[in-house]
Amino acid sequence: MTALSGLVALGGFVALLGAGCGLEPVPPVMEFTVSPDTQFAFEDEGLEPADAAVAAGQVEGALQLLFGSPARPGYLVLEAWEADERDPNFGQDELDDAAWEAVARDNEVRFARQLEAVRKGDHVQVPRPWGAVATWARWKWAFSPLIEARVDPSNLHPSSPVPGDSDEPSFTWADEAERFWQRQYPALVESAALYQRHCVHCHGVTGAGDGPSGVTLEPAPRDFRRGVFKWSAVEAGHRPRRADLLRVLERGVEGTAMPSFARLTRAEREGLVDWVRLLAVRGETELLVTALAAQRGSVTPELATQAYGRTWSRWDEAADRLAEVPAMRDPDAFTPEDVARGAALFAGDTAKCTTCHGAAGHGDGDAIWELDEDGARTRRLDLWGAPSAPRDLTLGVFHGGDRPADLYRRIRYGIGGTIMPAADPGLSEDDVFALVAYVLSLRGPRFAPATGEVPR
Amino acid sequence: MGPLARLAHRMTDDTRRVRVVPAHAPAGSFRRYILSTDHKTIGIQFLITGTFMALLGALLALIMRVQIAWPGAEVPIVGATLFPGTGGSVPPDVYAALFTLHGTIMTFFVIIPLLTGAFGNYLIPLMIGAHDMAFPKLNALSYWLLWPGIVFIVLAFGAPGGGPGAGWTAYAPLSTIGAYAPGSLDGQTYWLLAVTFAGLSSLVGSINYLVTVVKMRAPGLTLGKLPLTVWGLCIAAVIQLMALPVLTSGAAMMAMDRVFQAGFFSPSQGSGEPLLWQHLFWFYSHPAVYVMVLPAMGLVSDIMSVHARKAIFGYGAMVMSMLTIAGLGFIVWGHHMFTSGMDPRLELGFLSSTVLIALPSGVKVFNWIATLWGGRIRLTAAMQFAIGFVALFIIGGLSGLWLASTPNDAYLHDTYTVVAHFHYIVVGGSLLAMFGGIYHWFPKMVGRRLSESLGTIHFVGTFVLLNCVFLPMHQLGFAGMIRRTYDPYTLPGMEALQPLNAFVTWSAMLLGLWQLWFLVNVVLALVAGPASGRDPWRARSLEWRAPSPPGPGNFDAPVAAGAGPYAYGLGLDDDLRAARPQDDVARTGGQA
Amino acid sequence: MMRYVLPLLVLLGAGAAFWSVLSPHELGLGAAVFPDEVTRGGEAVDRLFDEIAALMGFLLLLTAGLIAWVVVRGAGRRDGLGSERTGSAALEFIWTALPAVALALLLVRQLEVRKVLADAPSAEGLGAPFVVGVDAHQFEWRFRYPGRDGAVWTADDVVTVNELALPAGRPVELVMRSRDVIHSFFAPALRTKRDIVPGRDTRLAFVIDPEDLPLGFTSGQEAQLGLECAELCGWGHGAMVGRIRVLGADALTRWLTARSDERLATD
Repeated sequence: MTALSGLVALGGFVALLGAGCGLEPVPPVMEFTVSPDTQFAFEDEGLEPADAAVAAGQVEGALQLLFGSPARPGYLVLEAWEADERDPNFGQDELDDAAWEAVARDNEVRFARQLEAVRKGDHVQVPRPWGAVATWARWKWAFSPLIEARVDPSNLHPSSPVPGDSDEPSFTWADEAERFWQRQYPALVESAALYQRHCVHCHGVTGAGDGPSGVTLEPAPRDFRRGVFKWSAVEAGHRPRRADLLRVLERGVEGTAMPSFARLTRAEREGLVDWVRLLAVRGETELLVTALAAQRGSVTPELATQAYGRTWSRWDEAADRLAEVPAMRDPDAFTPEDVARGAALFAGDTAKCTTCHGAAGHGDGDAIWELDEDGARTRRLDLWGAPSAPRDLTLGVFHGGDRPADLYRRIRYGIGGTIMPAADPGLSEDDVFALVAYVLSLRGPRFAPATGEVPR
Repeated sequence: MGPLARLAHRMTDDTRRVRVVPAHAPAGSFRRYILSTDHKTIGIQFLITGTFMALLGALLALIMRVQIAWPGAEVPIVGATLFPGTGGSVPPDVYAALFTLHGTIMTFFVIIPLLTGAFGNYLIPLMIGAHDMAFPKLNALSYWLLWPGIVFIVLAFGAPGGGPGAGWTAYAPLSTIGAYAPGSLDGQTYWLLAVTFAGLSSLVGSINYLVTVVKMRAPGLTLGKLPLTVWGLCIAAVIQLMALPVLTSGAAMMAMDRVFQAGFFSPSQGSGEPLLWQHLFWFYSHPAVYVMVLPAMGLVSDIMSVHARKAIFGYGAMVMSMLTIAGLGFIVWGHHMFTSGMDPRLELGFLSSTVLIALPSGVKVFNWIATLWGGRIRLTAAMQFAIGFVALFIIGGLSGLWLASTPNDAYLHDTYTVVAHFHYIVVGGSLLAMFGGIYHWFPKMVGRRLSESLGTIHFVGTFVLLNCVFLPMHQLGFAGMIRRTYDPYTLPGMEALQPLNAFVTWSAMLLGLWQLWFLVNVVLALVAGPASGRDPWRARSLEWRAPSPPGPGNFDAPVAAGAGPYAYGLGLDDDLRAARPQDDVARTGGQA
Repeated sequence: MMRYVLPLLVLLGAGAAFWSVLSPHELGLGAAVFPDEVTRGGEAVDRLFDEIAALMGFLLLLTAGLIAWVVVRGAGRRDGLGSERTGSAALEFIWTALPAVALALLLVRQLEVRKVLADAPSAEGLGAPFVVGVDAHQFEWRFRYPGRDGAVWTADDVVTVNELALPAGRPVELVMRSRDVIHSFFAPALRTKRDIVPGRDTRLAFVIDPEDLPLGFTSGQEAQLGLECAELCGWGHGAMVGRIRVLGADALTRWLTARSDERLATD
């Protein structure tokens, strides 16, 4: 009896272990969905719910055509672009040399195994590490498009000899391959996996700011789909540059739940920026397609590509919309006179800061209120539908950064999507600097010494 | 006559009296099972409730382990249902709720109710020869007070605004200010209510245990003859009585912080002091560790004595060491706060008292070994679990030496080494002791015997897998892996050790599945187990003189202490057997 | 059968624990388990760890061996009763007194190491402390370096996010504040950890020993150490990690100047 039970137990043990090896959990597959608002938009235009659902499905299909899915992402390349050799799938063209060097350095580590294999002349493959089946699975599907599509030597350098073509060892190919790996910051599919790991909990799969952990946050996570990002160095309401997104990713947004992701490698950060851009462009296209189609009643490929092209043109002009700032003044050099002048301007009729920020800068001015249809006092809403909450300047926490340049931009150019307007053109450069000086002087309690001290 | 015996003698004189066995009126099953005031029914209610809560707590642990081993992976089987928002992987705020509720459920709704509630209720009256608890209705109240707690802790999962995410220690101000813990708004308030109800339940039970033991012992059963199980439970009851009011008032203060912004613990609400909560919490929760382990030590001592066919070695030392542990347990709470920044002199005090507590623990270990020494050991499942308890308790206790040493604790505090340390005590210790207790007293509870073969298989797998789960956690902690980490890959240098995390998770899953052997064993025994008779182990303590299972009023004939629970040998063996011929059933039992 | 299996299991468990406590520096997975320490007094901490490990290992093997021995012996006997001994005052005294002596020695060693650690930052010839403000909040670190006024926690501080640059061979003093909940500054290589409790200043002092840094550390190079938050601070707790860069004196100055200039950048 004992021996029999023992055998059964041993068998069970082995069977469980064996079954276990085939059951390694893997990340769930993310799928893009179309926003519920899309269907509502069609219904608002008078379509029956069933027809609206069909139209929303058409939008979804169009978006899939244009952007693929998180498992197989990629921008559709328009015919007009092909002539110009423009391909938004390769966003790295926008990187400057210093950034390239940083990415290459990171990738030297990331792709060490591949580089080693390339150097030795072996076929490019990732060795399967012990016990890390999940890692393998993650890497495999991240790499397979690369391995299949791009390590075709002819892709690397048209003139380089292909291995096997001649009897000589093809050092050229190896060098080229090495350079290729080093400059290969995450492909979109890999960035999607990074996004799924680090960002999706708050920002949601489609970047709507509706991730399961994000819905309770105050302030809410950014909804990328409007294409408007508050903390950028472009004029308010315009599309951000790559560097703006990267800066938020690296510095975090102080005073919110958005942390700094500086701990990721430069290459990974660049990849995440790419992915955020894809989500933003996709969301914006969705809104535009919906708006256009709601008027016409149906979605056509032409309409979709038209919206797609228009969305892209907004992103393309970002570089020209830089919110210029003059050479910065050292905050230490602000004088009490600057501050006093700033205080006067703050309360004055030209800048009208106190209407929203309140007399003491607590963000409690009267202009944030409006009357709704029932005559009740409600807060004015921002672009994303959240109640406006002007900054309490005495906290000393500035979401967009507390450098003089940041504050200068906020004051001079306003904040996109919010009720914070661009400053009156009547304000001179010195006036804005005086306001910056005053705002910086307002920050209070956080810099006061803390109570009590702990013995060392 | 030693001081203990003198005290015992004095205390027993006035407890000698004739006891009346109440005639329980026959009643319907609702009255019999739901409204029962019978200590045995309540004990079994605690046992079943605790077991179900243990399953829930273990499920939470497994979900967490999946996330730790394969961050972002879809949780098998339950993931798609529980976390639809992320396609089946655990979101970070839910992860926080998972470890919070795992800790809370396992401490307040599994280990404490099982050890003090189930074993305390079932064994105390039987072991001291009483017909029931001193206050049967209070006893029922103690069980039913657990239920609001259970309801609140289960509701906390889906509370509006999210489950509690401040850890089972609920450090302020993370736990007091909703904005600091998005995703745990009402959940944290539910958590407070749950803990308060669980505490009330224990408090009521503890009063009952103490009164019962002081006033209702059988004639001749002096304190010096009390079984160590009863000693352990009594000392745990004293600890609960002294420490629980502190936790309860702390919880009340925290509730005021949360609801009225009273600002006891939150600096941003006036002059609140976060460390005050830590002091209040640990003033209860460190002694609570001994609530979880002293009764277990008692169970193990009794099991060992019975199955080694030998009196417990150094009875007086065993009792004194338990009392010493309990006493010292009240002045060591600060070692949970070494890194909070305290006055170096205070730190030194807590350091010394913590190191000191190793002494009585060591005395117990050596006395257990001496109890086995020269015994005629029957390696029953109960005995295996008891010996397993000692082996793992040693590992868990010794790793405490590092944590007590402040220079090393500065590194190890809040790393996985701490997780390994207390799981060795609570799982390797308390849980194994409880399994041993169930294998030992199951025949008394239902009158049938569990299979020793299945019990042996259950033990071997559990023992091996327990070590596979918790031993590598020491290493992870050494490498700097902190507790409550959502994704170990984010921690510097942890990627290389990730296979170890996967190994731990696999072992934990197997450990969970392995408990099916126990389930099978219990079901088989309930359906077709061999009858056990009154005293299958031929033990000496009083509970074995009652029928199995005992009827209302427990004993069918007056009992007296006789030579005590550990009177093996001493020429008494034959007398006892002659007096109770029905005990000779199954004397070959347990030769697995 | 269990007569031999059970002792074997107990011995195996103790043996595995023994091996694991005695080998915390090298696990054979290709990674050193303990990150190398880099502070003055760090060696003393590690040595104390090893001494405790040795004591633990001895007691583990002793007790497991005893358990195995008594089980093998006791389980082989025929049915009947065990020995009638119920206690021994001499034995109780021995196994109370011997561990007491060992623990007393351990306590003395701990006091020594505590003194070494307490004295390390104030040793002579190390110069004035390098003061950095640590601003901890959900879920990132901001480090504040003295600006023109030479003091931290003032408006002109130079601020970095999740990146802490420190000098080697000079005392470092961190003045830590939390904005919201309790955080804990934990750098494994520094062998230290200190909770940052909101509402008060917490100070932490240590010296990074240049000789402990990787070979060839000179003024122009840097070494990187990990930094974690060790106290649960909300659901992003595990992601609240940063990086410590240990720089030589010149490199640190250059780095600080560059950070200071960044404040005036307009991009």
